[in-house]
Amino acid sequence: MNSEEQKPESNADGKGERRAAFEKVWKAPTGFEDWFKTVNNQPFGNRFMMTSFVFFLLAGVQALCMRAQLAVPDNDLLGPEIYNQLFTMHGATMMYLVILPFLEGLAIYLLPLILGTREMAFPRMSAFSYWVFFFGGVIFYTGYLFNAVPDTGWFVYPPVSLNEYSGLGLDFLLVGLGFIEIAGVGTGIEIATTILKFRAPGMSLGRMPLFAWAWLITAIMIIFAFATLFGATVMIEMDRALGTCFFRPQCGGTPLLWQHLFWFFGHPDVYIMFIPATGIVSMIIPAFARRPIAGYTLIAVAIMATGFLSFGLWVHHMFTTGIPLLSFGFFAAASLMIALASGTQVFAWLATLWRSSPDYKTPLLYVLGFLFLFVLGGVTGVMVAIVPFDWQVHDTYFVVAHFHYVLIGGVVFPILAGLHYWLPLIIGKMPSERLGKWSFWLIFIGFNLTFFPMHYMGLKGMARRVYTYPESLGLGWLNLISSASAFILGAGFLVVAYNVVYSRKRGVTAPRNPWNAGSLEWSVTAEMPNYVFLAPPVIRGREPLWDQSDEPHDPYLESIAKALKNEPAEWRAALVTDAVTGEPQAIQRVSGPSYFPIIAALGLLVTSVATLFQGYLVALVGTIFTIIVAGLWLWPRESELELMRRSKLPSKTGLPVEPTGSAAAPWWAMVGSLAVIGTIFGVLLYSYFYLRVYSPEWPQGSIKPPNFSGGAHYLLLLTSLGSILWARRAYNKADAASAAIALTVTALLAALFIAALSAQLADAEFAPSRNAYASIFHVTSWHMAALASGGALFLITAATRIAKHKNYLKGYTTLHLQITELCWYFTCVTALLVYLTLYVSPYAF
Amino acid sequence: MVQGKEELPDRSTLITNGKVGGTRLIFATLGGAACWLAHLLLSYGIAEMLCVAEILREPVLGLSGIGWMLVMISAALIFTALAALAVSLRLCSAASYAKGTEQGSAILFTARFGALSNLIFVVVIAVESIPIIYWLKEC
Repeated sequence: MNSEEQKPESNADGKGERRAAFEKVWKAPTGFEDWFKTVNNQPFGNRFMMTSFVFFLLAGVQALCMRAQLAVPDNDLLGPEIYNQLFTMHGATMMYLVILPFLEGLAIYLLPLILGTREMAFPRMSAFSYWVFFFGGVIFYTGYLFNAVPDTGWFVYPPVSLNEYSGLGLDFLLVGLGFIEIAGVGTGIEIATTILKFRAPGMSLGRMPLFAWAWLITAIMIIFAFATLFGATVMIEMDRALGTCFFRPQCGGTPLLWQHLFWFFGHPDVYIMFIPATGIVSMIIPAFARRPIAGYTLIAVAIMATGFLSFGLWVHHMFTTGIPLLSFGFFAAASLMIALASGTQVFAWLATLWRSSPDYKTPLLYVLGFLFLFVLGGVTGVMVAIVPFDWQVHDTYFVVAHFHYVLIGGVVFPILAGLHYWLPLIIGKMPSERLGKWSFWLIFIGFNLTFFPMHYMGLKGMARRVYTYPESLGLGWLNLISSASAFILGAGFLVVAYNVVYSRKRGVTAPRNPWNAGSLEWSVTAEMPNYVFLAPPVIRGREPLWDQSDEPHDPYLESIAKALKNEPAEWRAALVTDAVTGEPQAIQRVSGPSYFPIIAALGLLVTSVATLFQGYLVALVGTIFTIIVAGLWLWPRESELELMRRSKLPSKTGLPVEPTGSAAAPWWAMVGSLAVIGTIFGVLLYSYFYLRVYSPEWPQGSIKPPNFSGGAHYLLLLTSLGSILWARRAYNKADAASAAIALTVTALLAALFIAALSAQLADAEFAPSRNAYASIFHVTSWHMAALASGGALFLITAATRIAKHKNYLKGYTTLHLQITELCWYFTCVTALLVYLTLYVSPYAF
Repeated sequence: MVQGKEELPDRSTLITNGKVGGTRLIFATLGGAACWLAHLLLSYGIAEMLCVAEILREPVLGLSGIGWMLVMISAALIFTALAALAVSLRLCSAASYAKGTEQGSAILFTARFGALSNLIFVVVIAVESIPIIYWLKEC
């Protein structure tokens, strides 16, 4: 796309009017509305990044306070209580509020530009995720207002995190964390759908920029990892607020269960931050080396392998907790093998730079710093993957050094590289090179002097998470160097912030593509319109702006792009392409400005704050309010649907404007949502069997579990499979009345199931707080009831839509039914697994 | 319809002619990774549960019952991952005849991606399993 394309055209043939209408449809709200109603990717990308930077400053101040405390031995500057609060808030802020949200902001900002599409798949989800993240961060820090700051560590290990030992401060952290998990999962689903379905025509998987590859894998990882943490967080909050026994040893629970669940999230979380950082590096190196990346396919495979393997390493955080010797092999080997995948990327980057004549500008300096530091962090990672070595250095400063090399060297350095690299696109000005180089050297030197000595401190036995150390350890001088250098590191970050502000005000206006890069985002400038691309760009190679491809132009793709120039002008839309081949599949409506995202986030805030102070009635009202708002948000306006049905685009392009099945973005959103719900059920079922294995008696407390017939109400869900199949048959025959009746019958069966299950739980001889068995039985059943309720809601809305649109049984109505079917089949399969676990397994083995 | 579209070859042929079906493509691409995930979760589950419950711990032919279960699971999943590798290699040759076309290039990349990935995961499963036979036999 060139600058001419962004100018209005002449009025010939009504093209000027179409262009004006198109511009109007994509116009962003202004003034007050801009703050709360806008949904475009650029403002929300910016908001994510700026908010996380504010939290970064807070975390930095906390780190400097800690280093001041540790500067000399036997220091009592802060004392143990404040020190515990500081390392908890520093760790939690960096892990939950800084790195990933910043990277998500960068992704939301850049992905439409890099993929050649007009918007993210679900712009309102971007807005909702931002507001939820923002409220979560505020809740996180509200503890300071009540003098109730969490002090358990960011990992929240029980029994310290149970209410006998931790007060309101931890509730703030856990509720804030719940918000951040929801925001993370929402963003994950949105990013995965965008990358899979919203690519420019011709951008097959093999031509997708590595930044997008990295984010595709990361987004899928976020869905599973954050869902696991969400399940675990709810369980520990139940232990604290409702007296359940999942992690409480005195009533049959086990704190180790938390460690398993937490690290099943926690270890992938490191890679959730690292993989997008590698995506940034893979974009910058070719731009500066002036050549395509070496080993593209190998890097893509390495990203995927890293994503998978990262879910197999969680036990290496638990080598000292006592696990069967047999298990060491799997986890140590997986921990070692992941170095293979990471190493592959390092060699590919070095090969790309090899014998090139790069211009050593600030972004490249940060990348080179990353390569050096990450390799060091990786080597110590391999060391702690070896079980006997891990036993030796566990909970020492060696581990602190290792993970800071990985997280600052491996993640923050690429973020800083990316910030300097894409700043011309974000603020429209070139960053100052002089300030950039100053910041790099301050950060690089400050970082190494702060953290490298910690390897030695750890080997000498200095324990982490302890507020001081004795002089006899002989590490005073090293700690002093480390503390003084931390201030140099902090100064470096301040120079980065100053550079952004200074360059924005006084920087040189950035030209188009200032680095002469080959990727698509540089085809536009910071003054890009909301829709970014007037017509979808046709992709013929991996570096579209270098266009080295010798493949001929594809007339079909060119004609699709031409037909979509300025179009549609009545509603916001983007082209949907095949996930593998990048072939055009459909034209998908994308949502426009709305207050619903912030109102839904506020509803969630009311629910959570009420829960925090045990106002359960208000929490219930908040939940119902949020569900109603979500319903209004998702329900498409009839006037807009009518416009779509009158569109000439299907006849011009051969592509549907009301896509169905896997061609439709909402279908992928449902798949993602079901993956989240399934993972939470996985957490509950894993917990059931884990508690069972480690319990000398099962069910505990001589409880007689319900037998096969005790779960007869689950048969209602099995029966409902027949009625939903009946609905599908009737719909295929365009018999709207029968389809609506069949869906209503299915919903009634669901309602009967929920009523019977509720009655069983109300009459149960064991309360959820009696022991761990009772807790897991009740909570799994509640979750099953909640899933069936959600499914019933979908069934009723689908029945209503089919009954209402009986003369138009296609397009969105078909999609609605498909999504409902997907949800209901999932509900039935989950119900079968829950039934087998709760009602059959206690008698079967 | 799009101008000139009629003169183009049928763009859906490669996907739908049976040579490159969706399920087959997914197995060829992610089969090895899925086998590794299944291997890790099954091995961990069996080792954790049976060792704690003290079931099948007696040695048979130098290895405990649990060890033999793990070895058998490893063998089965390595075999399945190898099958995924074979399918991805066959897809490479199936797609290479259409390399010049948009879809042919896309499928060829996906098949090569799958072949590399399956190879890596076969190695990872093997590396995770070998210590069971020699060094890490006990609960």
